[in-house]
Amino acid sequence: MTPVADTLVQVRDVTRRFGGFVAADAVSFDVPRGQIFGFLGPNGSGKSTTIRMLAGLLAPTSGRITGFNGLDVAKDTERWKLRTGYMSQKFSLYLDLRVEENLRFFGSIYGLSRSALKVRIGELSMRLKFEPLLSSMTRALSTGQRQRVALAAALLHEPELLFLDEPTGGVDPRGRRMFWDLIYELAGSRKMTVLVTTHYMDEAEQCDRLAFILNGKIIAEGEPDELKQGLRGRIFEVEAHGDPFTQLPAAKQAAAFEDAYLFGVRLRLVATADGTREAARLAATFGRAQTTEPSLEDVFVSLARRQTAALEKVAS
Amino acid sequence: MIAAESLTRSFGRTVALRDVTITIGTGEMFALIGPDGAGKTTFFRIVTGALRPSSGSISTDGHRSFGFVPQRFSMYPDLSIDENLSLRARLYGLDKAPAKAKAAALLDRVGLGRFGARLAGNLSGGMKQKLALCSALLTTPDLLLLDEPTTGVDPMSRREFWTMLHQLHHDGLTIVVSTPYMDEAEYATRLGFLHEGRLLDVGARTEILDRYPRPLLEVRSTQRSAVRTRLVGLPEIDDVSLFGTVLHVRGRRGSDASIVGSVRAALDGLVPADAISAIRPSLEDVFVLHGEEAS
Repeated sequence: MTPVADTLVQVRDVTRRFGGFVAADAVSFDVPRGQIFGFLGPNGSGKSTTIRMLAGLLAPTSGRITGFNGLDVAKDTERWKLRTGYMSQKFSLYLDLRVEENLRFFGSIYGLSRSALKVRIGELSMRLKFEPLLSSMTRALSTGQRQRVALAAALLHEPELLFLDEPTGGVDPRGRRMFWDLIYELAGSRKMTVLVTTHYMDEAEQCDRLAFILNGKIIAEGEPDELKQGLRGRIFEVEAHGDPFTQLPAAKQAAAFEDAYLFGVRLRLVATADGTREAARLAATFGRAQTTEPSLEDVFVSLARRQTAALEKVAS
Repeated sequence: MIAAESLTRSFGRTVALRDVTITIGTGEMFALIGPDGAGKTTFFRIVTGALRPSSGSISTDGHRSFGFVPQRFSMYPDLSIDENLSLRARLYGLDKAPAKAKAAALLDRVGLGRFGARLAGNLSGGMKQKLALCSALLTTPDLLLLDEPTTGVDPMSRREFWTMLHQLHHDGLTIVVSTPYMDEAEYATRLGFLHEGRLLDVGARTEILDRYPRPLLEVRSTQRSAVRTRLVGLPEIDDVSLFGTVLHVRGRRGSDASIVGSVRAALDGLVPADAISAIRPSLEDVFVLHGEEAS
């Protein structure tokens, strides 16, 4: 793991229980200043719980979250909230207000003056391309448009740290692209730090640093490139002779592969750590095979599988 | 077979579908792609009979029955998995014992066998969609319609969900699915691009890619923002976008060869020439271009 140079927020042994359920289990990591930090994990793994604790919206059962040169989220909650912005997958705007009314409402919560608010709404609506919609009813907006308005609401008070919880769920590829261009710009020119969760692995590729969370525990952390290291040389992509689907069962059963699946029209095979030689031989029998760079999806699935297998072993 | 003929549907002044004509054959796996508000959901609502077209016609001749997985979770959150499925079976008038056996077999197949007693409202996103799929398959349809079934679902569950769809397609089901994931759209036998209610393009993946009308290059570099800065001003370049870890550079017109030279020259000293090459477009390139041209 590469050391983190300049830390904005430190998370230490943070646990959150809901009754008997442990949603976050002794989570520790650092959020580097000015970077885009990605948080990945299956549905229900504890990502949203962790983000809500970092945003000061939910108190940890135990552990400590500090940052911004000496603030503690538990003691300085209000000051903490003024320096952070939060946007969640659950759409948080009032559908029966106009777009501009929503933004004025959220701005007033953060204590922005009327004149400052007017300037900010003007800037953000231009930049996020929803200026023509300012007087529209929020209900009438498409998912992508609502997402941009919600982002603007989180940015009104110019936070140093922005939390995005599945911000692009249900947004089409072009909308996602626009959204990410903007996140990049904010992280680059404004030196804003971003902590984002996503299920889109191409978005995860664009993060400076990533943490994988599973069953409430962080099971891997590092730069995208580092995380792929363990799978390099083990991924085979095959242009199958005939229907790749009919070849899947045989590939899945082979001991040399820990995973086999269809990727678009190709067959993608993941060799076990010590089975690459046998895997190469077998892959060639299915069609035209070549090794290829692991994707973050390969990393994700491999980590999730390994962890699930370990848990089942403990249970049995 | 699904045959839509000049299908148009308006809601007040908004035209959700405009003059859509398409035939989807028996046994196809057809993917419907397009941005938000393109009319995908309206199309499904018309095919399921929930909505009448303003004009035009739709027929699903030859299909006995269909199953539908809507975009929004449609199970009762305060009933268990088993209760949701037995309620569905009763609403469709299925015989109790065979319906129960069918439900159990379906749940096993998607890996939900152990969770029958769990309340649907307490399931994760991926499990909810698998339950919705089981529910849609309970009546043994020969046509399966799915409206963005994997949106918000993690990569592992998404892969399991698609393995099940492949199996169903292989067993002979006709499947129509909409998705925002271009890698999922690649699995389809044919695809249709919807934009603002219009069907812009229909065809097999390779046909659609072959029709891509612009030169396209890939630039492999870790200095992505520097590359971008140097290329965005060039008159022959009209888009530079990040695709995972590489940049795709699209030219305004001409052949791939015509822009390779100028891109290499512009990136001289920053990116070695062999890290700049012409590529075949991906579906996402097509998607982005269609969206821009239409609007």
